[in-house]
Amino acid sequence: MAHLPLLGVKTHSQKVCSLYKRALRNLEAYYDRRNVYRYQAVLLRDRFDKNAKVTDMRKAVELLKEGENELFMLQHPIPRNFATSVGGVAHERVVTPPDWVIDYWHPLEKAHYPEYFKRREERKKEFIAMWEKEYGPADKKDEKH
Amino acid sequence: MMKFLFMLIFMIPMCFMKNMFWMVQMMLFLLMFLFMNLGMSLNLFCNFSYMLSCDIMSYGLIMLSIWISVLMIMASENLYKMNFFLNFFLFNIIFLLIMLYLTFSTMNMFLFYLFFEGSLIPTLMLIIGWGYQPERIQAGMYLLFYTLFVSLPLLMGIFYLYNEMQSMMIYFLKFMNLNIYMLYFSMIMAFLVKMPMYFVHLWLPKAHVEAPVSGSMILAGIMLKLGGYGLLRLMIFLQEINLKLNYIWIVISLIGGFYISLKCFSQIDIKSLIAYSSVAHMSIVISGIMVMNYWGFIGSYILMIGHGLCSSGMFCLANISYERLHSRSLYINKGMMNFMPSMSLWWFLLMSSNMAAPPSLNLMGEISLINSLMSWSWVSMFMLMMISFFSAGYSLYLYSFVQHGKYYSGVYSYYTGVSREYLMLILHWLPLNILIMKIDYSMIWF
Amino acid sequence: MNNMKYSICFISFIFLFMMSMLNFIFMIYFIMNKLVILLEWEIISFNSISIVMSILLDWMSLLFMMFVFLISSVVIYYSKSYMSSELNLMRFIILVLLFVFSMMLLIISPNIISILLGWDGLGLVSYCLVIYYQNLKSYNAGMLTALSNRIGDVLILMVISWMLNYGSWNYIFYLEFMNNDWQMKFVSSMIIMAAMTKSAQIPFSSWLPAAMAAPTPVSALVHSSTLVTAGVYLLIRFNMLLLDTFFLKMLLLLSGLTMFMAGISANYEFDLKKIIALSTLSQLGLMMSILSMGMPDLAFFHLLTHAMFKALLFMCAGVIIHLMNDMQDIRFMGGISMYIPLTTLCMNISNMALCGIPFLAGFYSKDLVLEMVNFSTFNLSIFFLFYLSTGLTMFYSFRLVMYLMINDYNLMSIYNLYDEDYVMLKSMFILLFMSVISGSFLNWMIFPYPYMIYLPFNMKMMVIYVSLIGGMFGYLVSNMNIYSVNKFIMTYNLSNFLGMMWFMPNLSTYGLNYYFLKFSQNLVKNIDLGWSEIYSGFGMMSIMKKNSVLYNIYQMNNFKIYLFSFVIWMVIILFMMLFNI
Repeated sequence: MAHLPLLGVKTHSQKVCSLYKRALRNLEAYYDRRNVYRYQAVLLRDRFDKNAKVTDMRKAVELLKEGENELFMLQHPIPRNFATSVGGVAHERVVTPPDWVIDYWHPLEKAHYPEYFKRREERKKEFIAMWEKEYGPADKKDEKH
Repeated sequence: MMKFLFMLIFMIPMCFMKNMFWMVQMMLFLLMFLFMNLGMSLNLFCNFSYMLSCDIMSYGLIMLSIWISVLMIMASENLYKMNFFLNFFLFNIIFLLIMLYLTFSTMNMFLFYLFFEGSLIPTLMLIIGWGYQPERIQAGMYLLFYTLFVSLPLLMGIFYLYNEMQSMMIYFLKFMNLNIYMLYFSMIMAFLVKMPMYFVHLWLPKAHVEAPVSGSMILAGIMLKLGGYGLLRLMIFLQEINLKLNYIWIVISLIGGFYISLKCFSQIDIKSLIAYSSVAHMSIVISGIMVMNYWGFIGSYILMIGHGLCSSGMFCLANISYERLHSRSLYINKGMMNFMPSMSLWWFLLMSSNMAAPPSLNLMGEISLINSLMSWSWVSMFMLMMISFFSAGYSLYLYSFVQHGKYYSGVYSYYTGVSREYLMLILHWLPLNILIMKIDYSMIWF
Repeated sequence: MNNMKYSICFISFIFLFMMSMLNFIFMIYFIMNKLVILLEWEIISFNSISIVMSILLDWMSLLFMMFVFLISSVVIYYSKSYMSSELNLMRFIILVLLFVFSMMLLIISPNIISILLGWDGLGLVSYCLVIYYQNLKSYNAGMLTALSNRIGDVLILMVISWMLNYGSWNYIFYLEFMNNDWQMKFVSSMIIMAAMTKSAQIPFSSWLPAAMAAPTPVSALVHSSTLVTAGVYLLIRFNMLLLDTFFLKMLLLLSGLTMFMAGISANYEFDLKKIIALSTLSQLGLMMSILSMGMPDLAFFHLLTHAMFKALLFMCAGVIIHLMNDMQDIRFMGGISMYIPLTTLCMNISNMALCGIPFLAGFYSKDLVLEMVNFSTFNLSIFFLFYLSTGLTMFYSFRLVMYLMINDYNLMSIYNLYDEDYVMLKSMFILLFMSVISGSFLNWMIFPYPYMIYLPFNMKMMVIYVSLIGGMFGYLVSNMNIYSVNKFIMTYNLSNFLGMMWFMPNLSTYGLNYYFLKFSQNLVKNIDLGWSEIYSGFGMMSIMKKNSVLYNIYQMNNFKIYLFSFVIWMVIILFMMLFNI
């Protein structure tokens, strides 16, 4: 999820950290050998560390911009994504219907799994009882929704 | 033929009795069964009684209209549940069916005109009475005035014809050959608007969007076919002049069919997408009739029957989604496969029939129409290819948009398909794909 | 349901396997006695044209059916384990069975109308299988697949109408007769195009790698061995028609380029399944090109052997993906030969069969094909396309082997690799057996007499040379990082061009649909909501309104004005009558 914009405004340090992480991921895509990747990662870290002490905000923003630009120019054509994260092959592959769908099953369909539904009804009753114990009985006029 | 008419007429009181909703439907099923057993000869008018008769062409269309009426009642169970002017609704359907029955079976051209126009009234009632939004008034107006505007010339043409041949028998049209431009245009424009041809199709998506499910079903199922039926009947005395002028309609229809298929991609309303797709199919039907060869006639006839069943079934599906989500927007009808996996099968089957996948009637019709148009001019190949290709495009677009992916996150209650709906869809799909086994009934009729 | 002994997978496996054996026996009987059986059911006959549903059983269709049934049976058995956590397993299996059914209909019908039943069925069912998973990628891939295949369907429809003049659609009877007819030029061009869409040749090849969004058993069955070879099979049936036309040379060039393009792109690709899909594409190009050189039996031979080892390769890839937690990126993988030796064994054998290592399945067909190419009189570019692609096959196979098996293990620190999934292994072993023996077995079986090859030594050894060079390059490239050179913008463009299949996926998706959708928007805006409305409904209403307002003004005003306008009108008419206007 690293390349998605975070909600809200990011501070400068957050932006730098995000750039660093994305740059590392990009390096990972290029150098698939772990040892080669570690070497390149250390070099990258060194480049970031050199500018860590920059206190002039104007210069820091400039550096960040340059970094973003460089990352954009050097991005891997086929980024290495994890399968279930955004952009991966298995992302959202299986959609699980919400639990309440089972309540709307046809009685004939429900009859395939009698024990499960028996227990489900029990649990529903228990849940309603628990709710009413905690918040009191439901208001009659809310049922119209 | 009279017996079926009387059966229908005497079903009217039944509509106003209590709890007769399913009974009316069953009676219509019975009527369908009786009608199916009517003895037919392959290429002549038969079963004459009191100016009513039918040949194979009208036989199939009458059967289709009874069938669609049955399924209309079946699809509007929602009205039954809410008791929403139920008796009048049933009366409306029976009245519409009587009108359609008479249109298809009458031998008198004036009566044909009368019932052709008369069937507009119950349709209008259906749209205005049981539609959903205030815009249905405008849609009704569009429906009415588009068809009325060109039907008065048709009336004049019929009077002229009476003057010429001293008879109104449709059968005797065979012996006429009139090459008069005004007559030609006045005779066919009414049917072209009814079909609808491209450029005068605007009433159709409007009416479909505003109509209740039963209205959409009858509109797509039968009303469009009235135009095709009229053209097939009347082309016989306009042969020569039509051969001179047919390129106008063929060109408009082929280009229009391609444009309409493209327009389907910009629709976000399920119903209007299906409506546009029927315009695209009807455009090939028009061009097939206008080519005036055997392949064209039978192809347009088969495609009319197939499309009647198929698009009516698709409107049912749209309504099934609508009843659950209360929206027809493609953005809300998403990921339905997760809720109704078995309904997804029917979506797919009907979509694939819509894009003329084998072994549906649509495929047979499309093959014949392509044959006829290619024998007219091979240049029409390109537009036919486009129409055929994009029909797959929008059908799959509709199917996968509705069925595939994540469901709309605002859905909080739902119910799965009920057996009535599955039965309804089976009854749409089965004749569509089984009739091809006995295709000679639709292929050899004159 | 899945844990039961007689699950749907097992039952279907038994059924399909039995069918396969039955077809095998029949095939031997037919090939021994040179039998051909043709069944026809006349649907309708009029205007001296008959529409028939015909079934042709000869050794070719029976042999192909045997292979399809065999692969589908093991794939279904395999998916018992691969799809075991799937909720809708029943739907999946039924879809696969439907796919096999339509494949069967395609194989047995020599009639261009009744072939539609299988041809459209393949397109639709494969669409359902590609969009089986619910993510956006499979949605897009499915649309691309279905619409690319639909082009072929439409072309077949057009072929039907062009063949109307011949009075029958049973093409095999008439091909030789029709050969010289000018209308047959259209037919053959359209048949070739249709076959190219199904077999993903160059203008249409973007769908095949995209279709890898389907579950892996589907890729093993549909996108490697059956569906994609349907186009080749159709052209094998049509081969008599295609002997000496201009289109055939075009086909040769395009399929050669496909072979070359897929071979290069596979080297740039990191997705395991896409690499295998591209190698399938390359092999399809090989089949198509040898077909267009006029050797349909060789194309058929290679089709069958390729089906075996490519299905096996996909199944091995499935096992690896399964163990790697759905990761398909080969950069995550490595060193698996230490952990899953049996799967690695299958993978290696299928890879070697693919490269044409002697006495495995691919050797018999591929070597023969290349020697026939050497033997024939085509120009140097075709020659280079063939041999470069052969080298590239070794190239990407070796790179894949290096990435998967030799390099270090590269996934998470917690992993669970095991080789005890016997359901998958058993089904793989059946194909392993077949991909070892099927080459020699078919070689002895289907060729009535052996091809005579007479070549100089170096030409004969050319395959070995290019394979060795390719293998060496594969080794080097997997150790070098291909993309580390693209800091220069030139090579970046070049590698993008080569790695993205010559931009074909972009061209066939964004490149096309933007214009059509834009046009459709314009149409809706300008015609449906614009001119049509103004010149009919809306315009008429506004004219009526304006006029009625005008008349209202007359009526509301002084009566004298009303009368005066009447007088003016009369005067005008009078003048008109006077001057005979």
